[in-house]
Amino acid sequence: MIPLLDVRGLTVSFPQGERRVPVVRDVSLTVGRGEIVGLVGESGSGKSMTALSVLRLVPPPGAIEAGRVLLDGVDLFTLPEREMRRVRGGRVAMVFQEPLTALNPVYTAGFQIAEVVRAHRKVSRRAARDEASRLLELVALPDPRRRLDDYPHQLSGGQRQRVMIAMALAAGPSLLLADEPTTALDVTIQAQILELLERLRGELGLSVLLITHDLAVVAETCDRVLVMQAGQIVEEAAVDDLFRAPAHPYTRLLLAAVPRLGAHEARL
Amino acid sequence: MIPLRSGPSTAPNGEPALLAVEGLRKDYPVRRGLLQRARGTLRALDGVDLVVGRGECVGLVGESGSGKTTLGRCALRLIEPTAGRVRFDGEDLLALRPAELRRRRRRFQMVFQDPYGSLDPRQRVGSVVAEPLAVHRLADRAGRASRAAELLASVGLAPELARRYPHELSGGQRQRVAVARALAVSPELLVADEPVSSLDVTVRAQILALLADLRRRLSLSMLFIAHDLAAVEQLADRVAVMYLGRVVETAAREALFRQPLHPYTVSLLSAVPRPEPGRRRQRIVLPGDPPSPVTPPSGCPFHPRCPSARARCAAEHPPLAAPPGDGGRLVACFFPGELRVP
Repeated sequence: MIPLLDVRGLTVSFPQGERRVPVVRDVSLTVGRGEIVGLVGESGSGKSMTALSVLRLVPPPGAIEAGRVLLDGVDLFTLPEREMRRVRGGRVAMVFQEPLTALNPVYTAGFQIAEVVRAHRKVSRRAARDEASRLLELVALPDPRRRLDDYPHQLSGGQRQRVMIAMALAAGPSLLLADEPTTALDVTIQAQILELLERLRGELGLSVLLITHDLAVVAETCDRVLVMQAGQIVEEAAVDDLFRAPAHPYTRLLLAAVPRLGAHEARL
Repeated sequence: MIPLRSGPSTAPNGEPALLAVEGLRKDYPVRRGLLQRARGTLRALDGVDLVVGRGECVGLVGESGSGKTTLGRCALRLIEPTAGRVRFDGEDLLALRPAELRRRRRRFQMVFQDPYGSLDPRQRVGSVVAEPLAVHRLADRAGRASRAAELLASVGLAPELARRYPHELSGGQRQRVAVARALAVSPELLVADEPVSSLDVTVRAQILALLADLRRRLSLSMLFIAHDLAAVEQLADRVAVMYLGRVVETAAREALFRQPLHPYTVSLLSAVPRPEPGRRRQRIVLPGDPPSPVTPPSGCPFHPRCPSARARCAAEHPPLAAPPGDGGRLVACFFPGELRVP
């Protein structure tokens, strides 16, 4: 069976003076149906740019130099822009790190979710609002009917991230690109959001590319993991294998640096 | 031996505390509407007791809005508390006049979270580091330059970096500069507020190792504020856990991490993701968000989210007290130890 997402030989570059400097270099990765794949690396390693490339959203003056992105076998790089717009938010949705800046402060949560519903489906305003309420229930936001009329600033960080995920799910995507979805959240709220992602995978068969700097988050939620350094994938493995026997020196360095509880006792 | 119950001005080892905070409260008016009238009170700190002994590193953990940063700043009188006492080496800091307080500041220094915002971008690194010496008139120009080189070396930076500007440095290098600056006046107490939170993991590990090393070499006392429990476990001798402006549990590091007693501490520890995929565990996933400090719940502030709350928890506020048979720690819970890490 062909993978849901198949990225092959992706290279993205940015101009620096006369030259173009690659920030993503010959990256290949796949995400299978219902699979959660972790893309791990430190700041500037190219992980976010890889995700943006999938949706052809690399900000100028950056440009995709080479490679192909196949979604269900269809090459997204050759699609006309019109059809690409239907893919974005439609079959592939994205969740960002900072839900406060990613949400529009002057519209209610319900309006913003309903807007996405109506962008991808021909339904009435009322039906879209009902759908928004159903989506908020799906992401386990307490009291969803009431929350529809809340503005982003009236919600907590965790609630905002749930609204973001509800928006991402509005058009029934098969793939979710989640870029550091829990990095801005406190650890007890992070646990709630990770639990939600795992539940959505189970209930909706959602595939997730989880971009994170945190190997512990990968250990708890992902099936497979790719380690990125300076624009390149340096290691790919099933999560259990990566933690048991990291092959690349950079992976070993990252693993050694992961803060872990109980490390003090282990050293004694 | 650990005394049965340490008084507010004694460290758990029985010695007089270097820093002792008693009943500290900080209120902010909540202004609303066109006229910006005060419509309520945000109680950021609600009667906090905390001591840092000489040579001790106390880790202060809690989530956003729990009051840990406010506590760190009130403890050094960078902001004025509404009520309570702060004593440094026995002296009442809140009674000091501004000029006296300024002189006293040599003895306690602070390192902030964001090394991008805390360094003056127009100053070269050398003068950033040496400026406190000029402020406190501790050295002349030549003396400052050589001390700056010494300080940079002590935080693992090349002396040549003194001529660079902060924007030329990486995040980790900048945080080293911020630490060097704080150490310039040879303080006895360092308050470090999330000093590694904005750094990448590999750099974070290096800065933690540096802080641990400096602590030993300089016999520094430290209040280490962090939301990262693993970092606190690495550095702290004793840990205080905050929730909604109060300390809910404090204990020696080993005791706290091995057997947390407050249900919030238990949940917090259980929520930390572990880099051990083979051992997928049950997490305690707390419902909802921490309550607002503008409208705190009745009774125990944790009871609306607590898996083992009972009627009493909503009615009465549990005091921070030593649980039976465990004199080394203090817990603010009527049913300590009931909830366990799964």
